[in-house]
Amino acid sequence: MRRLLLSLGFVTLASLSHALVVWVAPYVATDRVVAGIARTREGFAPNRLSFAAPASPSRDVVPMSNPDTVVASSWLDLDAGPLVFTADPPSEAVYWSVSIFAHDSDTDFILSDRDLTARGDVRVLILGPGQAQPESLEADHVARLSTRRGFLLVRAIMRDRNDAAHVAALTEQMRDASLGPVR
Amino acid sequence: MARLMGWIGAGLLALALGVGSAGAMILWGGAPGARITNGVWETGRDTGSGATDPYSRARIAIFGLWALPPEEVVYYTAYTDEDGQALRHDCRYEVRGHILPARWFSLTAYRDFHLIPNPAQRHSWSATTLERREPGEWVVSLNASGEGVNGLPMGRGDGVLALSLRLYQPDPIVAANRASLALPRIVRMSCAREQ
Repeated sequence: MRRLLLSLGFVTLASLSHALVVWVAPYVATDRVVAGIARTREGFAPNRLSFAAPASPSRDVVPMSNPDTVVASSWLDLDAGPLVFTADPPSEAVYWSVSIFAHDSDTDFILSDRDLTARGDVRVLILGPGQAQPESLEADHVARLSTRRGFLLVRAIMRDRNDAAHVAALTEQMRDASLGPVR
Repeated sequence: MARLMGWIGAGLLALALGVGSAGAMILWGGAPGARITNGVWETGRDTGSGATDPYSRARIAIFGLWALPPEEVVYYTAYTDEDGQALRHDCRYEVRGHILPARWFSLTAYRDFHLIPNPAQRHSWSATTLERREPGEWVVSLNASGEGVNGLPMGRGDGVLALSLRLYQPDPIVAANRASLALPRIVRMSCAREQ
């Protein structure tokens, strides 16, 4: 009997530690990369959009990052309430999208320029788990995050990252985007 | 005392077994069927989508965080040439491809999953930068210094070399044919030392 209980305890402990590692790995990977971005990018703070120069070996904290994108991003903390993201997709971009990832790295929302029916500002309301849509705000799109914290990433693909004038124009257009609390 | 030590030892062994097996399953690519292979290229079946199994989710988070789902972007990765030999910085390769069925595509080189420093700051070639040899066809010269047509430097440092092929907003046929889609060939031309 004692041997059976010991075996059962052994298998339970091994299974629990196995499941814990698999479950926690995406959270740890996300936190590690966000900490790396915070170290290397000026102005990176929760719920505030920050803009990055195209990826380069000296600033490359995201594994297998795409060197042909100009990105804007923010760590999302929805404890204080919903957020709203607005942007005018840049005409200089070969491709543009905004995507929102849960803390466990799942893609909870994606909107690309191909999904838009008209040019001009796009407004995305970002809600956390259990948060209701504020009546005061009209949004074109609603993103519901499956965790209280997450990551917002705006990607714009450059035609040619070695074309300085094009990259400068695209970067400038990206700066029209904003993120903030619902007022 | 001996019995207590035995219990502690068994507990530590159970923990090591659980953690080690989890790590191995994450590194080896997740649940059965989670990865699709197409020649030397491989891609995740449900990369970036909520349908990802927990092992693949963990693997993607560690090696390619914030990937998008296949209907938006299909990511292929290759670590070997078409003969199955690991990519080496002392070899010269040609990556021979054609225009891929997507809104935009790119080929990027990595060492240990990060961009490779090089004086030309050349990390990729894409649908909008590739110089075409024949209508609809292209060749990327992959070697340590990035010499040649559409030269892509691998540098001279040690580490795991990989190529990533990204297809942004692929045609609908791509998602259903990820194992059979015609993808670029990675042809080894020569090496400084043969193995």
